[in-house]
Amino acid sequence: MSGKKGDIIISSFFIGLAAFFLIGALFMPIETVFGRYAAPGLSPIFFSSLVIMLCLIVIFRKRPKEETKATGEEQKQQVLKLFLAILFCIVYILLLGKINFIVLTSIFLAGSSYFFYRRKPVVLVIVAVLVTLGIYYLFNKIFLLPLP
Amino acid sequence: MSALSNLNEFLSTIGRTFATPQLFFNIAMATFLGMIVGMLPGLTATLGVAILTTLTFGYPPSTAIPMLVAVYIGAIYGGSRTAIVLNIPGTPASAATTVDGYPLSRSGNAGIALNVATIMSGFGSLIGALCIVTLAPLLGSLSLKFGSWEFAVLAIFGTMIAGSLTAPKDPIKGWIAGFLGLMISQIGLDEITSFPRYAYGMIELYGGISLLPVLVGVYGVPEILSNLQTTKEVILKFGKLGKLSNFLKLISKNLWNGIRSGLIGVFIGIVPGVGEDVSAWVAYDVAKRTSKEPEKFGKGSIEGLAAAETANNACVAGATIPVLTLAVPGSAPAAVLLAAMWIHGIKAGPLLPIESPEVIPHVAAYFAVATIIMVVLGIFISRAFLRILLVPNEVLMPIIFVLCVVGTYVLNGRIFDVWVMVLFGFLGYAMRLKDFPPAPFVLGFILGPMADTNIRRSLMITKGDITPFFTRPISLILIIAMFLVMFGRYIPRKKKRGGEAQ
Repeated sequence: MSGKKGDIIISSFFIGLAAFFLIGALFMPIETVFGRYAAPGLSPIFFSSLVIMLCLIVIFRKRPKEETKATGEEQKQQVLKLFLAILFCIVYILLLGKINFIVLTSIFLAGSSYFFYRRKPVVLVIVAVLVTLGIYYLFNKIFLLPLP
Repeated sequence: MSALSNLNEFLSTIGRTFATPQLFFNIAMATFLGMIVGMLPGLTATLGVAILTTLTFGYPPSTAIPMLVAVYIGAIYGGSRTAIVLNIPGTPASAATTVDGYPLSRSGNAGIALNVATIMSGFGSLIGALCIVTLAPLLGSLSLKFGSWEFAVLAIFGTMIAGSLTAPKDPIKGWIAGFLGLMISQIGLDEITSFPRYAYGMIELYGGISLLPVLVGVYGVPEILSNLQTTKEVILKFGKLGKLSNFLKLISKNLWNGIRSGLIGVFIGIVPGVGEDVSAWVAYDVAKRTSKEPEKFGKGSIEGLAAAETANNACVAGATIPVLTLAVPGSAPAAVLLAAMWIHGIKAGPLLPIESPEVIPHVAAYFAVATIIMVVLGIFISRAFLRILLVPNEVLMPIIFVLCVVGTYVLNGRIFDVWVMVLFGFLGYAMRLKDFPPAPFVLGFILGPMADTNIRRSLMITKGDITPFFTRPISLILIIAMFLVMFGRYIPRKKKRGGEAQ
């Protein structure tokens, strides 16, 4: 993604988010038992307006062109790895609490390590199981903190 | 408490800590854990303190707080190991260390560089501990003069300063990140009228968004995702140490450099949100400008290495001073420390020196104890534990992710917090891609409630009149300082005779 285009996309997203906060604040009560200056929407209006203003400056200002950091093929590989990493993480969280923690976490660790590392599957499985058991024992038995 | 009684309490707490095996062991373990976290390029000190906060959730404050201080110190120091040996800063605080640390390593002097970094980190940390004992009460008495106007301006000042200093090439992005954090922190029950802002019937949002999932998400998830995208090979080489007498000569030559860098680190740490990386660079720059051999900087200068490492560890203590006296964090890990203090019932802020005066010298003492342990561990065993870097990122990062998930979950026992972590993780990643710094965002998120409550309270007192913001001396000074830092770069400077503008 080129510098300017990326700035526009992310600034537009921030403007959208700030607009959501601004509109929400405008629907909040103005008069309160403590007077109008205690209105709950006052600070959100102030902060969201500043975000919108600054993001508009970023979008419309002139910036020099930036060089692309990675080659086409290399960038595609990195993007693919990113999406797969995100997918694995989201599936793991979706299944948390639905599948036994030790089973799910062992599969997640072994699977994601092997998928990205592609070597020594037996070692990875052993490490995954040991680490999971270690985390379970540490949190559940020593710190007495409930796990999902 | 007077300065003398603070010092007495500081020294006696150090003695008591060494004499209490359980506490000493806990601090030692936490320091060691911090060093490991700091060594691993995928992790930050913030994440280390955040994860340990969840682990020590059930511990009493007298155990939890020393451990958190220890992991913070260990993590900032630990980053120097990989910075010197591999040219990869383990934490952002060690970025300046790579400039001279790695050339020293390449020339076969890794052992000397590692030990100089250890001793100077310890020196900086001890200077910081002494500053906590002496400066924190002074700042505490100043903070009693703060009213709603000053706290409102301080919250915005801290966020804007952090934005300017952490995004020097494009400060607008830093300011956007800061105001974004201030804005998002408004979610939840309003402190004055108890109106549920942006909750939309979701009970989980009534209490606002918890700080730790945001911190872990913004700092941890982007690192995990970035490290899984690229593969790096690691080769470890240390070289010989040389004679002890030569090493001691090197340290004594850098004594003044160390004191100056330590004080720079402490004072930069006091500025909200700026952090250890900025202090290291500033100290490095000052050392280079005042050095008799500036041409050696960047090629393996012990002076440069010493300056960076002293400052970044001194900054840890500096960042803790506003935490204790103003409840305003000086850096991101200090923000987690503040959150941990709240969780453990320690009311950090202006009333701390009055309500619990012993906390300040106790925290300083834990700094000192953790520093001593850090130096010992650093000299004798850190080299062995650098081997953890040989574990591939593809194996380590999923483990770190699981720790983040579990650590976030155990805070409140809800999957909702894990989803918050993931959401802010994506936000943090997107921000990182386009150079929006996370530090002002996190600081804005922490200071948002303080800014909101005090803005409205001050307007309620004056019935909407904003003049006191500009007529009260402390508030005016903060506003002027904020504008100078934000817009000072645009002020035209005087030109040198026959040369360029300064």
